[in-house]
Amino acid sequence: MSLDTLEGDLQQVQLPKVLFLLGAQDANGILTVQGEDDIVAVSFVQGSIVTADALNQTVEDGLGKVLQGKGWVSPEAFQAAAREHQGGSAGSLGDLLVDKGVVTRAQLLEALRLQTLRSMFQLLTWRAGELRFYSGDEVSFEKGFVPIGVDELLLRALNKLGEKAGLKGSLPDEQATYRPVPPRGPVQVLGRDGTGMEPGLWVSALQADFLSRVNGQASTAELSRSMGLSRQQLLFTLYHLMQHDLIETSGASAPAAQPAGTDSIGFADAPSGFAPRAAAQPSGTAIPRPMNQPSGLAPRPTAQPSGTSIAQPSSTGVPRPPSPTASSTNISRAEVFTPPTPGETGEPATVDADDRILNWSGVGLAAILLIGVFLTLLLRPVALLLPFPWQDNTRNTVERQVRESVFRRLDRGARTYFLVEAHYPDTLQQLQELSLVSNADLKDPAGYEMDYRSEQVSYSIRLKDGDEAIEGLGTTEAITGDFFVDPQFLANARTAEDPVVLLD
Amino acid sequence: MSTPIPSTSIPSTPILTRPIPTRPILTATSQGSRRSRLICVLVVLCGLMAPALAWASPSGDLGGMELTSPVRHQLYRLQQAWQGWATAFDAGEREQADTKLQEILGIGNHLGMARFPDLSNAAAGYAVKSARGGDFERAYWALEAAEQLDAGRPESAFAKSSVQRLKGDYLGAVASVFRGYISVLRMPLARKLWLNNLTLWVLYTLLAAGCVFVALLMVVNGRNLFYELSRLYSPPLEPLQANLVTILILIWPIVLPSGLAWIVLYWSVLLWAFCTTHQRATLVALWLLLGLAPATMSYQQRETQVALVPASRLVDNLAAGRIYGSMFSDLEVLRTMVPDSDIVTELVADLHRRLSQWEYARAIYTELSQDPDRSSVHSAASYTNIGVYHHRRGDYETAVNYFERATDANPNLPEAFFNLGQAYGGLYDFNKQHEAIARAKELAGDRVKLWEDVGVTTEESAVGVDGGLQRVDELRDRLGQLWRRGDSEQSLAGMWRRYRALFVALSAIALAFVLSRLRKQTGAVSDRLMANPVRFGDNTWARIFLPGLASIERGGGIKSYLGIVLPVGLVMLWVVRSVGYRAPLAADPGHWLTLGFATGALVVLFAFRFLLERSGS
Repeated sequence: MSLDTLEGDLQQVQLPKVLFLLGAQDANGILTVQGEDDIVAVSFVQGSIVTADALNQTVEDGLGKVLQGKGWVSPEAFQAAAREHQGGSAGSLGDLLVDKGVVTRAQLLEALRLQTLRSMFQLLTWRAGELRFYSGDEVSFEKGFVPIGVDELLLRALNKLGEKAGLKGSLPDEQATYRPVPPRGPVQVLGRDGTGMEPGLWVSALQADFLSRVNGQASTAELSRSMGLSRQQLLFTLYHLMQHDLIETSGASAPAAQPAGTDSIGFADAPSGFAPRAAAQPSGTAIPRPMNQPSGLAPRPTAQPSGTSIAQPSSTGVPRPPSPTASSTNISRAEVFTPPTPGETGEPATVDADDRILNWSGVGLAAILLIGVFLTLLLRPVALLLPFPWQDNTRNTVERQVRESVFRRLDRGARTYFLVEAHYPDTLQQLQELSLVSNADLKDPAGYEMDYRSEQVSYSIRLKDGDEAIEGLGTTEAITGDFFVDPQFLANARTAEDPVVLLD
Repeated sequence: MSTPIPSTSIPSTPILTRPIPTRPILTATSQGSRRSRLICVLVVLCGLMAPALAWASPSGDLGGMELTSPVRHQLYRLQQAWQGWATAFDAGEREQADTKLQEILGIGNHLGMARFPDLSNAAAGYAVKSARGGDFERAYWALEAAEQLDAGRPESAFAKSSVQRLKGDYLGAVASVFRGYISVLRMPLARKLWLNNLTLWVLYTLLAAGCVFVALLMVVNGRNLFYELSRLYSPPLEPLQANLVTILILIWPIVLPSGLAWIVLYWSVLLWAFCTTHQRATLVALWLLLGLAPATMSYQQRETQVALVPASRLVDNLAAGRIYGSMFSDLEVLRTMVPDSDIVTELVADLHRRLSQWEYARAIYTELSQDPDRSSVHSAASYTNIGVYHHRRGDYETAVNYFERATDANPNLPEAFFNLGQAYGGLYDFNKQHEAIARAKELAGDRVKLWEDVGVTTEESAVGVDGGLQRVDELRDRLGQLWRRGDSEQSLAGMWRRYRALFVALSAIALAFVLSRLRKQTGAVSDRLMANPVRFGDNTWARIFLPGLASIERGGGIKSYLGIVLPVGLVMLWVVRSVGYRAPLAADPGHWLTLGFATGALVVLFAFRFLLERSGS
């Protein structure tokens, strides 16, 4: 039996179990669930959910609610975009929103993911309806959408809905140390031993591996690290194995045998709801079909599961005695649902180990830039306006002009000082004392030191870089040519006789 | 009291060695008739000049401007009166000081320029000095003198502010500083530099805010950029190695000359792919601003250079009727800078006329009026002033002749019609007088009324035209052209130098677009992190102290940029106050007001943002 033949009635088969089977076997295709009021199509890519479309609710409806709920878009802006989209705009509404700059692509993708989760939560509460899986490799979904792993979905549903979602039990303690419990029957590995539609205790290959490593001594953290499990994978594995009484915390008393027919996602019972599907398509359904949906939907002969029990890893041969040490730390539910870590998305784990570096990389780079701007403003502000290498002449010209204006200011101050004191100031600070110049006027725009020297009737300012005077950047002024203060200017007039007045 | 200058004391023939413009002679279009005429004029003038040259003392040419003995004497009296005022002020003899002050003002009236900025500034300096010595009464006394010597000067207001501050009247000090700044805006030269500083401040603010904008984009999208770059070479590189390589790839432009600019440009290009449409529009605007800033600066440099040359100070002061110590030196500088300018020549003639050196003035006006290249409007001013010369001498017939030439050359010159009327009055032709005055009133009724009030005697009733001063804008253009010529920016290389930054900006836009397309086409896109963004904007303090961050996280562009501009602009007030152009004033209120305003506004801004956060808005 293959996944192509998967169909059944929700009253007989638990949806969580179906999702688990599809997820654990990296299924590709579309699962349709026809309920009393609606039909939902859930698309899977490599066992993860990428879309969940309801017939009676368009993507746009749900998307609008999420975006508005997040406060990322106003109802008016969304309505306007929706009207434009209905008016024949090419592409999806989401693309239109991004193109118009109403939301970012990141926001759109996050909203789509949230909406998909909401649809799945709703679907998990259904208790009546028929489900059917259409296998196929081509499933259309929004590019960039981060697939929702079944483990993530079920953990979230357990946290949010509990038994309403058909999920029993509680979140396991990831800090505890576990030991194996003798199984009540043969444990079969999905994919290797069958598709899970046959009776028996079914676990995924990863869970089987984990089970083989549990020995009552190694902590879950060690096991998780050695297997490269994400936190979510670890939690779900613990949950699944505990629900099937395959493990228990070290030191715990042996659990009572669980009655057959449990309705947890554990499948100790045969999935009686599963039935080979007829070739006929479901009538009255408007579910979009995968692009390359295989033509043959008729049930194919399936291999009988071997029912092989999981052996202890021969490589280690470590017995699994009960361990007296067990952490009693319980984890709160809120802590569980962290965003997926890099390894869960299937992307290369280049920087998986240091997401923190990633998160702060932008901040660090921005800090470098801002420090650079600050230093530029401190050391050579004009370089902010004219930053390029070939603008050196223009920068120098600006500085020269500012310097010229400073010298003129100082000269005005010095001449005024001369009118008051009959000589030039001994220091530039004396100009400041008379409020003739400000402190900023005593600083060169390029940061050079001003070396001021005054004679009785002249003064000079030389600019110095350290102890070295810079040629051509200073100024020398004198009272010469100023008839108010230059005694030589009107020397002739002083001795001139008054004009002669002639009388008729 | 001013000393009257009898006409007989003025040399009957002016000294025209320097004021005569050489251009009309040298550029006489090589036409035989014109050249002959000009040569004749020269010969006649030289003949007339001979006795004058003999009369003139060697010091008659002061600072490049010929001054008659009476004018030099008035200037000497002015010097003496100021020293008298200072001595009386130091001795605390107010009555004597007031007498000297009135003498100074009287001399100013006689010289035709009754405002003394240098002396006003010095009086303001005395005020501050007295206040520092604790003598506030004398400080206010000096401030009054400063106002009388040149009313409305910013230096007086700033000095008053210093006095009030020293006295403990801080509110009054702030009010005085504001009055001072308003006065600054009334001074053309200072206003120009102030506007240039405003332009600088705007450019600093916009570009610095642009840097902050790119930095915040890096905060929000840096991790995605970092991640995508790391993916390119990991594997084969180990994660740690990949991270180090990514850091090097992102910061390598820092080693280039002007590394900061390249980093900003480089990062904005790389971040383009992660930006929303609004953010991209903002980046494009910033790149264009960066590209056009050099051209803006180049234009501003030209304007600033014109404002900083001594000639501009001369022009502004002459226009306002101010006489200052280095006026004649500045005039010489101006004549050296544009030796062939008829505007400068006319300006010199106007100055001679104001100083009542009519013979000098008439000679220059005559020369100018005979220049065939001059427009009729400009010639009309010269005719009018020659007419005024004859009118003052009582030669009304000749005056009428020149005034009629003036009205023919420019039928819209009210001074010419008014003077024509006055000259007809001197000839007792009252009908024509009324007719001409009526026409003058049609053209400028208010001014005619003023002229009628001023003219006491018939001789003084004619009014001159400041033909040179009216063309100061043209003169500034000429000075600007000199700067442009010196700057060689008109050459192709100069244009390329000026607009190369714009080319870089446009290249950045193109590169960003291409990289974005390549990223999509090569499948380098990774939305793994984008779906789980780290929201620094969720942090309350980040929202308060990093305006624009939350908006950028929501995809905002211009809005977030504007959020950054306000605080950055306030910070830039500090910067521009230190690196901007200084207005040529002999007083400065100091930094405290600017810094106080900027700091206060920043505190208010962030307090407001804090309260908004607390109220959940």
